[in-house]
Amino acid sequence: MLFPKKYRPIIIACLLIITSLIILSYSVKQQSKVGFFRRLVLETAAPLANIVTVSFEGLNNAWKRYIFLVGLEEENRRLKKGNALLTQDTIQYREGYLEGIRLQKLLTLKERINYPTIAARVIARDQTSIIKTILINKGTSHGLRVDLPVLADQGLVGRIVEASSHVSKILLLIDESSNIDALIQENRIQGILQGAGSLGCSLKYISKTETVNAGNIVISSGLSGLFPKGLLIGSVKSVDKTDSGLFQKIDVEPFVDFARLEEVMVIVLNKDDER
Amino acid sequence: MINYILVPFLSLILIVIQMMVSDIMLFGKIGVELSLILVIYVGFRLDIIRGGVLSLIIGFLRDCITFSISGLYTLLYVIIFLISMLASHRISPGKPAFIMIFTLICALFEGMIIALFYPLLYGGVISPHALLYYMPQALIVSGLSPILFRTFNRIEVLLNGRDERPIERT
Repeated sequence: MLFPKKYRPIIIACLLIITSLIILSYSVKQQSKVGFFRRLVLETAAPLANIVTVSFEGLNNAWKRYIFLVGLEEENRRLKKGNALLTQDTIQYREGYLEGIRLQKLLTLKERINYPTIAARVIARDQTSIIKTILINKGTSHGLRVDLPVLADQGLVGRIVEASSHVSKILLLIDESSNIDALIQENRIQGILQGAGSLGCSLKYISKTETVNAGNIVISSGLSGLFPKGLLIGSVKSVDKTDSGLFQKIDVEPFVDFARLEEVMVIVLNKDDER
Repeated sequence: MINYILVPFLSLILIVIQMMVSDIMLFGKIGVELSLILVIYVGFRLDIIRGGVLSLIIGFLRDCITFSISGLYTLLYVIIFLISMLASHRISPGKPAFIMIFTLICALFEGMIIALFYPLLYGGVISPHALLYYMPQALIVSGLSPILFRTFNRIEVLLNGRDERPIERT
């Protein structure tokens, strides 16, 4: 035996401490280097760490999802409330966006027309009965009066038939009592466009000798003095010459979707323009 | 013979687990140093050669995995092992209260040494919040120590094929 048995523990303790100090001092000197043993330990620990991480995360998830559900109801209520508010906001933003698009179209229309115009919002509609009218939120106090033409971005809507201080009633061109001087854009044949209720309009008093085809564009002729010339009205839907009378039966589909009308533009014509 | 490979491997698993516990369950805010409890247990149970080498290995593994300076934990664990061994010669280590107090002292000692060593090795000043940082860790480790002592005891019995017995020097 190299050392007496009595001193063995002390010597071993000293050896252990010296070994530790050697490792420490070597490591401090070679801080940037990764030694072989360190690499070996890390390589061994990596898969173990993977397994343990997966197991812990599984347990953690199970705990959070299935066991630790305190406050979940409150959170759920809060989230539902938040969701409702966000949905409301989204609807409002979308509404604003769509309104912006519509107003942009109206603005484009305003720039196209050489007459002064007033934009108005549709506040009520009565299209279920035979009478096809809408109410707008502008009236005489805004410079509107009876017989002024009303447009939407797609085309002609109708004319004002009643005007109070802040509200006006528009007779839509599909109303059966509405008659507008119109012409076919392609061959300049003139006729009277009469409302036909839910069927749209029909172009009357066009001789059977004239050639009219489905798809032809119908515009205002400007002859009556109520509507300026060249306003888009609709397109020919069907032509029927089989009737026994002198004239053709021409159905016209208006460009304007009256059921979805929200903003309109009133053309403010002065008396001279009308004449 | 197989134990000489198995025990370091199990120690490695323990260190990995302690890291994951700290990382996943305590969000890396508090370290739960289970390996320190193992070193103290080894100090109470094993002789100087087996225990000393095992402490050296555990410390080295800890150093390697935590990316700290290799040797700091090795040195600390060897010192703690020697202190534990000396303490177990004078006081009966079977009582949970003693285990808890002793573990608390060792954990604080370890924290203090690390707090002193880091500025020495890297420069800078000793953090005034070091005690505040290590105190919760030490308390947690101290609280866990009696349970882990029992667990280590069972593992030891399983590995050696012996009956379970009180925590005393073999």
